[in-house]
Amino acid sequence: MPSGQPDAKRSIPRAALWVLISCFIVSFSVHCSQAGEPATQELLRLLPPESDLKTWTLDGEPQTAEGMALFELINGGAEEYVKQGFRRAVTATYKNKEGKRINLDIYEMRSSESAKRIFRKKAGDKGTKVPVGDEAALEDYYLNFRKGPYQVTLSGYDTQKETLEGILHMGRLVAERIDASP
Amino acid sequence: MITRRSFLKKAACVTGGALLSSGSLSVLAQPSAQSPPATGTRLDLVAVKGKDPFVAAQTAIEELGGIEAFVKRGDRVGLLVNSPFKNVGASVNPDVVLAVLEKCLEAGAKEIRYLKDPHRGYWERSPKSGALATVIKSLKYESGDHAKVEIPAGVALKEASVAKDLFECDVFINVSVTKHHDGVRYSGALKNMMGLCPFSTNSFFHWGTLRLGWYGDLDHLNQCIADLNLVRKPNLCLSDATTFITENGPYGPGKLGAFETVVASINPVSQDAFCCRFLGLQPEEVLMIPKAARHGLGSMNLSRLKIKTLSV
Repeated sequence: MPSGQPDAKRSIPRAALWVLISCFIVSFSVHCSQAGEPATQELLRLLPPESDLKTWTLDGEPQTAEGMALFELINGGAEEYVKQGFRRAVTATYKNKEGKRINLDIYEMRSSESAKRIFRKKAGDKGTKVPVGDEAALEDYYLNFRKGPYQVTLSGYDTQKETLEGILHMGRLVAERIDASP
Repeated sequence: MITRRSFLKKAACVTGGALLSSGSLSVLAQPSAQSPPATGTRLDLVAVKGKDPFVAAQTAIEELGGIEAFVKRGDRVGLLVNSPFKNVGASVNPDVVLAVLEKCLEAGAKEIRYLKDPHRGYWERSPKSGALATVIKSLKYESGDHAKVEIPAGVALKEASVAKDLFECDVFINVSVTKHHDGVRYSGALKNMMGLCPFSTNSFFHWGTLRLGWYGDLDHLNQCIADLNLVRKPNLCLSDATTFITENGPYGPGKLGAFETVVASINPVSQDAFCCRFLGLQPEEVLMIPKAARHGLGSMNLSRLKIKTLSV
């Protein structure tokens, strides 16, 4: 329907398909919400507790999304995740007393292979290899790593040592919690 | 020229389920009476390079004629800022927004409405947020109400659900971030308009022709963006090209470009035609730009524009 003026023969099935897609979107949209739904409880357990983080505390409630609802959570950034086999995600922000912030996004993919593909897309062959999870790449102000079926991204707002140390510390804690999860 | 009051009268029909008449919307796409004329000695576009985004943004507005050319005492200002993305370089630097806010209040704006809410913690990213706390507190945020509007001149998009707040302001300011976008390659002023639409409308942009994939039909997506811009042309556009993602857009994180530049202009087409070059793209390579130019929303021919670049 490139012109928005569909021909008569195809307009009815296309309209019906569009209605179906709309219903599909709405049904998935209800899954995008504040944390707390049963399906995402397991994912929330991967967030490092404040007791392990020393100077970093949660800034607001974590947010979660399942399936297509990822588009509402991270907008067009969701395309690649969905394409590679996305299941669910949790995002959270931590801050310290100096007002610095670190964003943590954990994406549960359908398989380790899915996680490997999305890691390749996000990190490429760039960055400094660091020992976090199965494979990790540290950039100026962010870290991407994968562990089993999970792709994890942590990002700060500056390139200072304190921020990067916080990112690495948090990343390792998440990797340990993935290891320990059932 | 449609006014806020005349729109509200018409929007009353919308709440009743009826669509606005095509006549009213064709008027909506015209420049506001408060837009400065594009001819004469007035500049079309200003690019200010500087270490401080706040100073650069205020200088850009001054060079374009001063905020008084756009905002009158007692006006309601609608501010559409690309700021829902938490990663650095994926949202407008809050200092740029604070600079605009301060200018609007100086001009005597009665109310400033944030048309798309920022991400949590957005203002705290600015070192100026403490000193300008009263400015931030004075803001009103999105009402969440949408109106279905017709777009008679739209090619792919004939109607859209758009934030009602857009039509309740006297002055509309579009503040975008220059950045990479995985689908349409570049995101700026034209693309920012999608922030006014709910997910259901934006889904039509992506899936309206039923081709598989979020970016399955890029021509349709770009056409829808151009068409959406017919709904209301901004009185003033600013783009933050200070620090922005050059990959993994629109969400990031990714490698950053740092041109330390804020750009201001009076139409989104010229704005994007100028800013896409920060990403190494020509206007013709970003499909929504020529499509919006064909709608008469501005010129993408930079050689025919009055442009001033300066450093502060």
